[in-house]
Amino acid sequence: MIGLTERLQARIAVEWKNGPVEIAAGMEPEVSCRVFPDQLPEFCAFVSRTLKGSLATVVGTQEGDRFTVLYVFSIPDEHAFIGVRTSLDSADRSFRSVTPVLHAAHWAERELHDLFGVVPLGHPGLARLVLHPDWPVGVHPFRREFDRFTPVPRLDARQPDLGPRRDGEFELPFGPIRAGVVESAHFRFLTVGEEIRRLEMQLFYKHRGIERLFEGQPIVLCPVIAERISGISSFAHSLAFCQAVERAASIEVPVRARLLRTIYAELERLYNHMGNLANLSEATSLRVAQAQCSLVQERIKQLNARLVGHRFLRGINTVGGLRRDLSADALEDLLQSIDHLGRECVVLIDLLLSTKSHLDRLVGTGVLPEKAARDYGAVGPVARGSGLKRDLRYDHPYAAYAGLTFTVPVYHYGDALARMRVRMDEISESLQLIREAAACLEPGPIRTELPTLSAGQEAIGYAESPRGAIVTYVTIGEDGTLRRCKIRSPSFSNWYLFQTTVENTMMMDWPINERSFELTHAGCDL
Amino acid sequence: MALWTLKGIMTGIVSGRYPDEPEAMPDGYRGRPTLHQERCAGDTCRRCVEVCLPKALTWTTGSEATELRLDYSRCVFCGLCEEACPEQAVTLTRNVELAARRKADLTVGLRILGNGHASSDASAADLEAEIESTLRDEITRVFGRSLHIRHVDAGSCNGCESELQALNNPYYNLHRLGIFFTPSPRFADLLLVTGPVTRPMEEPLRNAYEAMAEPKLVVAVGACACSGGIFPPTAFTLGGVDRIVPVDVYIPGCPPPPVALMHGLLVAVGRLEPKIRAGAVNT
Repeated sequence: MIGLTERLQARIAVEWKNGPVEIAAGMEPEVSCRVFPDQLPEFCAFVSRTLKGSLATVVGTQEGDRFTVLYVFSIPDEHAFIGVRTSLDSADRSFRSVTPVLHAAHWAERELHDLFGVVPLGHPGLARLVLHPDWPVGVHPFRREFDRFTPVPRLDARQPDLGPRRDGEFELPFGPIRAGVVESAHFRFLTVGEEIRRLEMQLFYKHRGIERLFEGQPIVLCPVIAERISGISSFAHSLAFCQAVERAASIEVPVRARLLRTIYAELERLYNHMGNLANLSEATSLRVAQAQCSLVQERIKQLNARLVGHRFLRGINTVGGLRRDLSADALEDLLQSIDHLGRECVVLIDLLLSTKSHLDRLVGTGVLPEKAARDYGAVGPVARGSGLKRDLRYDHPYAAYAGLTFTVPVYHYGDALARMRVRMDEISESLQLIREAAACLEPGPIRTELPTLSAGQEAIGYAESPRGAIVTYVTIGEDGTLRRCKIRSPSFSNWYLFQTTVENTMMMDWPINERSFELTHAGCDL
Repeated sequence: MALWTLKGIMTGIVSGRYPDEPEAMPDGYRGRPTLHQERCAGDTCRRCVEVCLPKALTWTTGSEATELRLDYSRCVFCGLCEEACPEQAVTLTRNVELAARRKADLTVGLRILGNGHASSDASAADLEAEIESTLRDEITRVFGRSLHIRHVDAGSCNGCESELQALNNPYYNLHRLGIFFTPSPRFADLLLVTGPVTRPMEEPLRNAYEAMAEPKLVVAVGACACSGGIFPPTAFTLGGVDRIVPVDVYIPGCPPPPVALMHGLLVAVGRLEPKIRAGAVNT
């Protein structure tokens, strides 16, 4: 790994000619660069275009009255991450926005502006994102001086009007409480009946301030919070968090724990993808398929409960490894269940792929072109359905993925069908990964003790959840507590570009499109 | 399409028979923690309290007694207390049917110093139980045969939603009990709320409650909705549903598995009795 880091450092030194840059090994084995605020966009563009990086996360931090922003890029070619950091002037707290050269930073910079009150100069649409219109102006809830235990008064303010309308256009509000058992979000369609002319989304109804909940907590308790960021990605979130702290502490997780983590992560992918097939079948009115797929999903959740004691795989990950070992009987149960459920999955996938009424509704629905997916920073099955081969398990292998063989399915049409086929292929890959990882299991320890951590150590951890890349940044605080945790979830990355696939489509395609993206609000709103 | 019909018929009946037959969670499942008075080392230890993120376990030092209290409405069933206790004075059981009509029923105490046993407000509970039994017959008469639910997500992690959706899968098949989800609060008999109530969801939640016709029931699902869970009252979250609208039944769990949800819904309409009273479980 050292060779890679050195090569990247050398490339930056040779190819970047626009000004001073300080290169340090801040987040080993990755490269950390520090630039002046007025050079941030140029350097980010350089990392993105010349080094072919994709934006993984944007982190704001505050030390005293000093604000720092950190842009982390994944460089798949080099299997490494690059952090680009700049400290802001404490008086005006501004920096030049990266968004004009890198669309993927659009929401992230608006989030920074809302929560920290730092100003990305030249941002093309610096409206509120996380905070709702009734939140007072000038109150930034992630500032150190903000007292989060005191309620904030409400302003009498509403969402802005959708603007001028043409003949026959009207506004159709939808949410925040919507039909069925779904999460809360508010959508406003400007429509002429069937055609959706415009979509305005007001998300962040579920903003729980969960990143601030981490602050000051003992590290042993933090996985409990991480598991509750998004329930149906509990394991991936706790894995990303634990791996971040493990990297900050430079500890090695035992092989057995790494293999078991891989198995559980793939079980999570399986039950999510089967649930997605059930949801898609519901959207195309295929009731038997919906029932069949949701039954398999239920069987996998029951298997989870038998293996680790929780249907969503909570309470198993801990910093340094796992809290429970898998007994020989449980392993036998796992293998038998996977055989049985795997056969069932194959039957259902074949049936779905031969049901014309289902496929007809997906073809050409919610098309996301490859360029848009790349520019806006798509992740997960959404990116892979639009021709981008992005998968953290492959680009930056963690847990036991480096030693296992699997392929990353990629489809190029960018429509709902492509996203479904990506998920279907991933189901087969997950089944194979579980079998392979189980075959490698040898008796051994499952947990490494966590050494005493010193304040200020930082790292990023990551995991490919069923919906895409989770990137978690942590800084260690005093006495083994956590100072700052920043979570970038796949839903945050993908909601932004979902909007672009809705405008000028048909209302009847909305449920299919929404389900084929399968984004969560808890993960996005945090 | 014919192939799907065939596939459906070939699958046969897969539904469980809860509540006619009990449905046990598997061995090792993290359900209701129990306290063991005789094993607890007392207030010199406090390791279980230190690892309890939602503060479900607390020490109260009064003039007469020092007490270890466990509040099931706050518990997220993470099991860290069980691992931290050197004396096995806290152990997790597989029991998940914890729905209760009063929050007081969800608290259990160990009196570590001083006289007496596990405390709860017994006299008040008896009086309330009497009123309750007369009301319960009326609730069952009105809602017992068919129930329509409007669900409101007030800031959950979507774990509760996933389990609520699971109620409609062929295994739990909630329809067989005459219970349905409905899109409009106007048609709903019961408002089912998940999440700690985030600031932006306060007004929509109140509106949904007020839009419902009388008589109506409110059920809080999951630790967040019951008490805020790991989310204390802050500028972001309000700390539980009963701070906004009155709650009739609390269903603890993080998230409550479908069996616990079915039990709680049947308790809400008086078709089942709560198994937990004053922190103790009748088995």
